[in-house]
Amino acid sequence: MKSSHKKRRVLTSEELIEQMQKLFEERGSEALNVARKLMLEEKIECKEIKEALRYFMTEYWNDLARPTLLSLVCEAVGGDPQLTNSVAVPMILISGAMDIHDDIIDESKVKQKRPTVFGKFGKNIALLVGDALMLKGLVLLSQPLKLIPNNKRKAILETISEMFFQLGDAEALELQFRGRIDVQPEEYLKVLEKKAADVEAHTRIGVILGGGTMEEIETLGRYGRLLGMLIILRDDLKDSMDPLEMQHRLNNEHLPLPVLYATEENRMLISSVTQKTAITDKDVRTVIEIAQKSGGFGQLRKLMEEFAGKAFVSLEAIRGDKSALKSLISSMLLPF
Amino acid sequence: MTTLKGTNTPSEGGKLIEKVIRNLQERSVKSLEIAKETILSRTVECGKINEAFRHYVYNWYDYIHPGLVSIACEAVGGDPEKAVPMQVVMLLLSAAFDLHDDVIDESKTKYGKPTVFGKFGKDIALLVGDAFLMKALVLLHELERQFPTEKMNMIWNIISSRFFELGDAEALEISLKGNVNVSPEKCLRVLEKKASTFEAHMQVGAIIGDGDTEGIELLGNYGRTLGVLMGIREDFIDIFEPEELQNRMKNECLPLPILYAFKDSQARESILTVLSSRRINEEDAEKIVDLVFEAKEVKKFEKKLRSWAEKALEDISHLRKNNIEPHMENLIKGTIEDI
Repeated sequence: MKSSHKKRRVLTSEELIEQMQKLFEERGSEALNVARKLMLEEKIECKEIKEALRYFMTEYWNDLARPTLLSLVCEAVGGDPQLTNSVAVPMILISGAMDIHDDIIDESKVKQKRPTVFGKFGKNIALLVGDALMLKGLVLLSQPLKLIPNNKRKAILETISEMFFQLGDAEALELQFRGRIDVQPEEYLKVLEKKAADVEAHTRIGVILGGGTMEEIETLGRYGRLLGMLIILRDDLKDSMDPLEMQHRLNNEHLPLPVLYATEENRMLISSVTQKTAITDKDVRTVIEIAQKSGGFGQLRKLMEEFAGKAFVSLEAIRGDKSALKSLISSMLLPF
Repeated sequence: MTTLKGTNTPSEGGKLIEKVIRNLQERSVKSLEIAKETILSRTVECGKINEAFRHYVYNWYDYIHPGLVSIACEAVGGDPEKAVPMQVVMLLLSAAFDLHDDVIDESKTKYGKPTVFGKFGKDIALLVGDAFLMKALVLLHELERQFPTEKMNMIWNIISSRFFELGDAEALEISLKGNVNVSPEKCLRVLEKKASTFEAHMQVGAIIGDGDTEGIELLGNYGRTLGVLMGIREDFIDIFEPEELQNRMKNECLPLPILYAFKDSQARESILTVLSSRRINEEDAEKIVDLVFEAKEVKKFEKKLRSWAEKALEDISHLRKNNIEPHMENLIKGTIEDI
């Protein structure tokens, strides 16, 4: 960019958030609207399924981030970002399907203060809505893939398949952490790395569509994996500071990373809480305090900074416009 | 998983059905082997998932779905060998929905063996079903360059619409569960929608076999009717099996013939009294069988079944004559044998 030699003012947190929101709207809205339209057009007789699909697509799944990422990465390697829209639509649906099925497994009834499809309609309807989205997503993918060369098509399919198996594997491995307070942070981070396959898949596909080199696929794949890990870690940080979320984690999932860092020295104390049949607000606050006092939050922040640093380094090899990709990483380190 | 039950009731001998089963099995061996290898070739870090894959594969005997693809391909003059890759896709797809169906119905055992849900629980069954679904559709994408674009577009459309219909049927069925007041017409509607996948298998086979539009449509209609008749046959068989009856009463819809018998208020009262027993035994089931088969509405329903079967046979009579027709006739006749 011509203005790159000018001295840049560092954005405030609010400005960065605003910039990201604007970017997501600009880059992600078109694909999201198409995905919504296509799902709502489906002929469905069962009222509950119809309502659950409508709820998920119009009120819940505001997935602007994935199409934005596809678009940004495509552009960063010199491709036309418009090319990514036709692939972004099915990817929105496939990711939505996985999110719904994930909620069934985690028994997540509420997320970010909104009821999930599982929370609002129950296990069976959620399962069927997830299946419908996955089926539709994979069917829709056939159209854009017909228009691209065979090697690219194969690479995209392999990437989606790999992402899917890694995510499923991570989900299954995570199940083994439930109710355990002896989970080592390293053990958890290994699973977390697998869970970040989703974001990596999007960056890889963006590069493939943009006509990037093999090296760029690997470099931006690495960036995607690190960004994915940062997103999950940020969620962990947020959950650890929110008593309601922490209560859900203690009851239905495994301990978030700040608490896992703290468990070594305070195992007995945390165990006395997690083994209770009914965990009270006071118990939750105790766990949060333990994590704070034993430096769990500090360790997590340090880890996030380390990952962010690596992500910035991975972007150095990219010649195109990477400012937005850098901002995405920076936004992960913003205070809540 | 839909099966053709050839032994036990209603036909102790079930000779025609056994012949049909053998033919379907022969047509499915290769694709089933490939599908099993496909699933087992991919292992993940989580041991439980790998174990669940193996469990499903070792108990995987679906010869109907791939068999139908092969029959339809041959019925329009195609080489069934060409249909094998598509049989594999359809096998994986049907397995995915079967795995998820067990989670919805909470079916812990099937045909005397634990389901993936029964052995590994809801979460693993859900993930394994997802893996089958993903694998099936990725394989279908890989077939893109093997078949002309026009054919592939038709196949994608069929898979999307018919399997959507199956999901819709399953959702409708959820609302009918445990409701003894549901009308047989409503249940039949669900069954018709569930038969959409049979239509899909026949249509996909006909497309691969280079069938023309009329052939594809006729075979699709045949598939839909066959699916409905097979569903109804299973419902008839369930009346004879105390354990199945108990399960249907508790977790699912009552078998259709019972719902038709309910149209007679006296029969309804007598059947409900028996069904309400804490444990349904052989004697109870026999009482129900007698009451059901004596009911006027059930007799009318049996007549209807025969007319549907005739219609399906009439449909295939319009197809080009070849050696497959007797097999298709047997399939239909087998489903209403002894009903």
